[in-house]
Amino acid sequence: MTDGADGGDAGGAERVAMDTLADGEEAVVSACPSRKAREMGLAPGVQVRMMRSRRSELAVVVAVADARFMVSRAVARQILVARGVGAARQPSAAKRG
Amino acid sequence: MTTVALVGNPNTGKTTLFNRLTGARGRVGNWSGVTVESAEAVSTLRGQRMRVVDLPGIYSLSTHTLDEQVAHDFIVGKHPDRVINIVDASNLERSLYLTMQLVDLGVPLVVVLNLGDVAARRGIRIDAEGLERLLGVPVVATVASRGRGLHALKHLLARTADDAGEPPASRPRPGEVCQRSDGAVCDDSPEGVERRQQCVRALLAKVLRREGPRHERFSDRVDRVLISRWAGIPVFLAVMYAIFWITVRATQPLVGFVDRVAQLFLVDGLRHLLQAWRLPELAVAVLCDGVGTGAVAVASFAPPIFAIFLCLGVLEESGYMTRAAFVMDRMLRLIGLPGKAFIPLLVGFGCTVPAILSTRTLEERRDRVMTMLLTPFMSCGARLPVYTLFALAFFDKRGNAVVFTLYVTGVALAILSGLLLRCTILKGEGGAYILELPTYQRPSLWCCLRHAWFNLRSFVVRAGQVIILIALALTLLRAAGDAWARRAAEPGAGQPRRELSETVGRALAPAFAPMGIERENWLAVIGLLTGVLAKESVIGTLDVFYSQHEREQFEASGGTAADEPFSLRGGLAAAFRQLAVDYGLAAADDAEAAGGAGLVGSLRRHFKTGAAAFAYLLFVLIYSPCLAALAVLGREAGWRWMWFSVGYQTLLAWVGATVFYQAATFSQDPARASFWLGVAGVIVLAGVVGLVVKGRRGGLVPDRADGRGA
Repeated sequence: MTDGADGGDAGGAERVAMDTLADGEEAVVSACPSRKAREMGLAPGVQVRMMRSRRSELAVVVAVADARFMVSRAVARQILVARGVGAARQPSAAKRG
Repeated sequence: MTTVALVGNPNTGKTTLFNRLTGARGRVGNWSGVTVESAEAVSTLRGQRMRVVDLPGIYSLSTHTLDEQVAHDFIVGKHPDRVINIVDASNLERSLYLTMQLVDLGVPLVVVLNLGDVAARRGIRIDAEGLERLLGVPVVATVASRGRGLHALKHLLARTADDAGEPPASRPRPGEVCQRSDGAVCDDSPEGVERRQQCVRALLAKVLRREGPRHERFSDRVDRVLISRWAGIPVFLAVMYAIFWITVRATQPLVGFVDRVAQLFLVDGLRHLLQAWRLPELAVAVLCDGVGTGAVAVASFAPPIFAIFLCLGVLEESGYMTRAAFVMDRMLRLIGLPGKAFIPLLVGFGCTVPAILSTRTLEERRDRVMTMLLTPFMSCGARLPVYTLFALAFFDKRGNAVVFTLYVTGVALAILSGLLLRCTILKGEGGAYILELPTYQRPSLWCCLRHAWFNLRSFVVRAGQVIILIALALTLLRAAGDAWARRAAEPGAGQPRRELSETVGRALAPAFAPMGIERENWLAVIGLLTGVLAKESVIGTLDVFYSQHEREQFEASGGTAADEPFSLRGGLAAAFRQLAVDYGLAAADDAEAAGGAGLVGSLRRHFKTGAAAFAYLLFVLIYSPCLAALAVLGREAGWRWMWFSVGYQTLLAWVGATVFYQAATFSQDPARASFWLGVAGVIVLAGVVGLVVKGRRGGLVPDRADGRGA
C-alpha cells in the first residue's frame, strides 16, 4: 500500500505522524506513502482535521475538506503532517475522552 | 448499440442515476461498497438504444481491491463509447482526482455534478460552466435522487451518441489548469499523483466558492456520541437487539397469520376446488399436498425476511453501517481482521451471497478469505423461519431468548473460528485500511421498502423453486412407491420397496442420532439435505414431508379424513381472530391456546424434546452454506476454500449439536453421553491438529481465484 510520496518542505513546521494529532487539531499533510490514501484525498498539501483519536482505538477519524475518513492507525502513523501550518483548533471540536 | 459506463467515487449516487436512466432497480445504499459488481441495463434515450453499465465505486483507476479492478478493467479494457463520471458536488475535492485521471486517459467523458442539493445546504457553489471549460468535457448538474438535471443529461447523451466512436486522441484536453509535461497518458507515479492533486486544487480555486465558514456538521455531532467509547458499543448492541426484536418477536404473530391464510387458500381451498372439478387424486395430491403445502411454508417465512431486510435497509441508508465497523474494529482485530470487514459480516445477517461479494472491498486477500469463511456463521434471513417455527413449537415464552441465543452462538463461533484460523492456516494481522464515513441521512422509507421487497421476492422465488421441485419429485416417488406396494401385496412378492427419499433418510439418520434425531425422524435428515440447496427449504421440506407422512400413517391405521366443510369466510375470520390474540388485542380461548396443529404440531411429535430441537437448530445454524453461497464462495475465494468451508462447518455443526444434546441429556444415559462427548472431543482435537500442521506448511492462502496478490 506504500510507494513513497513526500510533500517536501513544510515551511519549518513540526512534522509529526497524523495519528498523534489531538481531537480538533488541524494540520497539513506533508508526506503520505500510502497511494490509496493519496488518491482518496490525503495528499501532500491537503489540510486535515483530526475528528477522533483515542489510544485505545485502532483507527482514527479525520476530516479532509467535506469528507470524513476512518483511517487505521497503521496508515495514520505513516502519514506525516505539519502542525501549525494554517492550522487552528476548532472551538467546537470534541474534547479528548 | 452505444455503451455508456457510469463511474465515480463510492456513494456519489451512481446506482441512483443508473436506476433513473434505465428504469432498473439496482440496490442503493449509504455506504462504500454497495455495488461490487458491474450491473447493466439497456435503455432507449430519445430513440437511441444504449447499454448503460453501473460500475463499482472507485477513488482512482488504481486497482487496490477487486471491485476497483472491475471498474478499471471495464474503462481501460472495454473502451465504452461514453463514460459518465458522477462527482459529488458536496465533496468536489475528493471526487475530482478520478475525473482528472479519466481526462488524462482521454476517454469520451461526461461529468455529472450530482448531489447539488447537499452542496447547496453546505453553502457550496460550483461554477459548472467554468468546470466544463477548464476540463474540456461536458458537465451536467443533477440531483439524481429527485430526477433533477436528468433531462439535460439524456439530451446530451443522445446528442453526443453519434460521435461516440470518435477517437479519444481528438478530444479536447484540459490545457488551462493541468498541462502535462511529458504527454504521457495517465501517469501513475508518485509525481503523477501529486501533479493531479495539484490540478484538482487549482481547479477548485477557480470553480468552487464556499459561502460562510465550514460549520460542524450534524453527522460530526452525532458521531461524537455514536462512535464514542462509552456509547459506541451499547448503542450498537441496542440497534442489533432492536433489529432482532422486530424481525423475530414483532413478526411472530404475522408468521402464524400468513401460514393460516396461505393454508386456507393454497391447500384447503385449492383441494376443495380441484375435488369439485373431479380431478384425479394424484393431481390433487401433487397440487395441494406438494406444491400447496410447500408454498404455504414459503409464504409463512415472508414476514421475518421482509422485516430483516427492511431493518438492514434502514441501517444502510442511514449511514450507520460504517460507524458499526468503527465500533467493532477492536473486536475484529482480535481475530486478525480490519474493522472494515464488519460490513460484509453485518450484510450476512440478511443473505450470505451479497455478504461474500461485499468482501471485494477489502484490500488484502487474506482478510477477504477469512471474512468469506466467517460470514456463513451470521444467521442469514433464510434460517430465521426455521428458528422461529421451532421456537414456537418447543420453547413457547422462552422462544425469543432461544432465537437470540442462536444468533449470539453464530457470532461466538465466528470469533472462535477466526481465532483458530488466525493461529493456523490464515496467519497474519488485519490489513491497513481507509474507509470513508458517509454523512448520516434520513432513510427513505420507499427505498427501504423496495429493497426489502426485492430481497423477499428473490428469497421466495429461490425457495419456491426448490420446494416445488422437491414436492413434485416426492409425489412422483410416492406414486411409484404405491405401485410397488401394490405389487408387493400380490401373492409371492418379496419385501415392499421404500421410496428413494426414505432410503436415503434412513441410511443417514444414524449419523444424526448423537444429536437427538431418532431413526424414525429420518424426515428431519431430508430437511437438512434440501437445506443445502437453500436454507429456506428446510421448513418447506419438513412441512411437505411431515404432512404427507402423517397422512399416510393415518390412512395406514385405517383412519379417514374428517369431512369438515370448507369455509373460506370462517377460515379467514379465525386467522384474523388469532392475529388479534397474538398481538394482545383479544383474549385467547382454550382451544386456540392449546395449539399443536399443522407444522408446529408435527415438529413436536417428531422431535419429542426441546434438547433435540435445539440441537437440530444448532446444526442448521452452523452446517454448510447453501448452494448459492457456495458457488459465490468458490468463485471469489477458490474452490479449495469452498470445500474447506463445507467440511469445516458441517463437522463443526455435528460436533456442536452432538455436544449440546449429549450434555443436555447426560443424566439420562451417562455412558452413552460420555462416549459421544469423547468422540466429539477427538474430532475437535484432530481438526485443530490438522489445521496446525497445514498452517506450518504454509496454509492455504496461495490458492487464489482472483489472481491478485495477498
